[in-house]
Amino acid sequence: MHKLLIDSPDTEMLLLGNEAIARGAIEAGVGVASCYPGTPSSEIPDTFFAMFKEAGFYFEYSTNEKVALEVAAGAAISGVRSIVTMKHVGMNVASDSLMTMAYLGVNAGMVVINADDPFLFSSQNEQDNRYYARLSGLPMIEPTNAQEMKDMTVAAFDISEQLKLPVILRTTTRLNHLRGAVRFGSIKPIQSKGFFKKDPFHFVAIPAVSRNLHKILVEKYDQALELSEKSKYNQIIGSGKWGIVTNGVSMNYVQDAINDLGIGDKVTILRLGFSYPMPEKMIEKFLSNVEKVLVVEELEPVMENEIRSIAQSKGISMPIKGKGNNLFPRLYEYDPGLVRKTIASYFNVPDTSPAMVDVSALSELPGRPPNLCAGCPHRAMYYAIKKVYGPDAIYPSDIGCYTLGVLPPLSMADLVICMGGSIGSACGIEAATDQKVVSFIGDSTFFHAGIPALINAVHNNHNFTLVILDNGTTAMTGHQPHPGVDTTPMGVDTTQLSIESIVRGCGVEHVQVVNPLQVKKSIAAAQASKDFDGISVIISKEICPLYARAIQKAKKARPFYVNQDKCKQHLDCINHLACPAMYIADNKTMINESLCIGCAVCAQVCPENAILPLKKPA
Amino acid sequence: MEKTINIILSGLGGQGILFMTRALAQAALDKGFNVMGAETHGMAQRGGSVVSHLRLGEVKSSLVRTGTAHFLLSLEENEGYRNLPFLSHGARMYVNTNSRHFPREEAKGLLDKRKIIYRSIPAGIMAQELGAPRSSNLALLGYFSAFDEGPINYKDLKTTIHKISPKRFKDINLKILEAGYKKGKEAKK
Repeated sequence: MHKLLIDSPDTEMLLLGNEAIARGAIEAGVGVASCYPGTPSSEIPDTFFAMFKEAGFYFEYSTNEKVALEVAAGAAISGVRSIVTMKHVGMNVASDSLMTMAYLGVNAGMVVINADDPFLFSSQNEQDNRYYARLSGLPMIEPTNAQEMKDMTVAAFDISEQLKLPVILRTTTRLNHLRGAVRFGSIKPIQSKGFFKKDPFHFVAIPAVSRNLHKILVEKYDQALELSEKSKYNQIIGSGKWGIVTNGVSMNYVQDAINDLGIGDKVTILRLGFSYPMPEKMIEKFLSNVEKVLVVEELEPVMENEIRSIAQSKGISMPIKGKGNNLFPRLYEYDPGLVRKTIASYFNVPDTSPAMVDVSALSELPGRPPNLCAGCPHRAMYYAIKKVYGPDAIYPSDIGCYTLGVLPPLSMADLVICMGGSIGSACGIEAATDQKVVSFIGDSTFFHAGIPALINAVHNNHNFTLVILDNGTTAMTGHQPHPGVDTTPMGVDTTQLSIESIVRGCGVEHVQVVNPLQVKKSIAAAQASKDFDGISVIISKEICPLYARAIQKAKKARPFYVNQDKCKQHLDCINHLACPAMYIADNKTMINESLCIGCAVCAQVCPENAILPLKKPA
Repeated sequence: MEKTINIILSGLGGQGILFMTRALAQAALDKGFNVMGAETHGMAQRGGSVVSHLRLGEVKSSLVRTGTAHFLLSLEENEGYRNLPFLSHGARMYVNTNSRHFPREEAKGLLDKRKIIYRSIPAGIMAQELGAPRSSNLALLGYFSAFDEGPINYKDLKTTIHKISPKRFKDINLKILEAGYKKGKEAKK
């Protein structure tokens, strides 16, 4: 049995934050779960994927977040509890559906898990999605630790059913990826089948219907406000004259700092876990008991501004500060040291932080950005394209492992916006310049948001090359399947789609499928694309070696070595491929045989044929 | 409950920091500690710098504050230096390196000044010799446990590794853990 399906309340287990959310959904008796994976949310759907058949609910990796949200919406309107998970920028994709779902409402609990990424650990921006609650009018809740991630997921379903609205549960990377003890509750039986009851004058969002639905949504705000005022996740803690308002992971930093500084008796904390709507009466009560307020929230001054506005409307005047000089930044995530230091300085308490080792005295430590793996097929395709198109062509790229090709010496990304952005932006660059354009997009990203853009490129007679880097999995987020993957070996019944057929179906006439590890053929394909006038597509097809290893499908290839007698130090391998398995020691080019997976690309690049497979061990 | 214990684990993506974190966390939980951990997932898994934080005791934050870590286990030497700001006075540092000149000269002064005790083990080479080049994490864990300076001893780790290892890796994992432990015992003599 999957460890998260154990139906014995009070079991205590050490869980990743994301596993705690998955357990919460199980306890709430979720019937339908959907997602598009994305760091830091990915382990939630991956946990569902590992257990959904055994548990008996429906789960899918959807093609993108918008579709995923609609899947959950359809289920919840049909009376089945549903959950949908995504990262913060995925919410942008889903937002079209989300906005109107707030009007339509639901018949069973629907929870939208939104994972923000302050500090951009693995994202293209660090937008603050608390604004989505304000924009849509949907309630938002924010847990602070592993236990609450489980408990508040369960609570979110109840709130959703009380208000008949989807509820957004917002996390940040530090919560998704913390590990902590979680005490289980009981599991509600799964109700996986509902009934779609026709009610077109409620569920068909035409203007005449939506005018009324908007009125209902505004009325629901008052009900939501009442729930927020009474929620146990909104708390006033302590009775000191120094007020601190906080949410999410910052709450933990605040509590540790107050204990550490020994100012517990001087402080009153207002913790906002049911953070939209903000509990006005509770905030008024809090403000009337303190003399000055510090708001501790990562990213935008959302609570700070709203609390100031509430204070103003109640005629309360006192310093309410959060962001600013000597206070908190609007950038990146907070850490316990920053929170402690800022609390100490704002309330004039001596900060007795211990000294720390000053590493500035150490000569430069090597920067360690993430890199394409040894034997990664993306590297091989980048080599072939650059060989033909040269360094001056413009290379719009997309979201995935291959974005790592931005680093020198590959330098094969000139513009990255968002999922699918490589193709649309190529149309614009090609229309606005006389430069050659080659776009790169991954297989999963192509399904996610590339197809409409490709149709646009063909329809509007654009002229560039698109390379679809098909490594047979959604690699960056942890090897989730996508519509081009055969999921039969995973024991899951889905229909596999052919990228080539889709590309042809989009009207592309010049389509080539190549194995990027065959260097000469890849260069020939690149040349044929370059010579073609119009939209040409190269599908670069080779399995991700990390994934191959994970599913025990890795080819048994011998690692390579450099024959030092033959090597003339052209360094083409080092300078053009930069494979992490290669290094230079004592002026010799070497291959680390435990990292080399035997892809043989460097051997094909070497002008002296000095790179050879190791003989089989005797 | 006893005082808080803060541990930093560092290295490069793919070296098995997450497994090492999970093993220590589980062992500590089984010993009755309140456990909090913070991990790096996602993009940093592609060979980039990776750090895990582990805190045992009655604390709320999963992140260790600079200057307060008691232990640093690093699967790579430079990543160890990079995370020195986390260490407290008198902390202990265990590093996987093949270098015979560990710690590097300029680091030695910093470590000595803060009375940080440092030890190293060629965990990568050991794991490779035992036929599992990607398991330097277990050799380092075994080595750490041999000194019995932390809250988790070798016996605890053995039980945990047995419990959390996937079936096909169970035996080799325990073997490498033991090799690291023995190396530590020798060094202790």
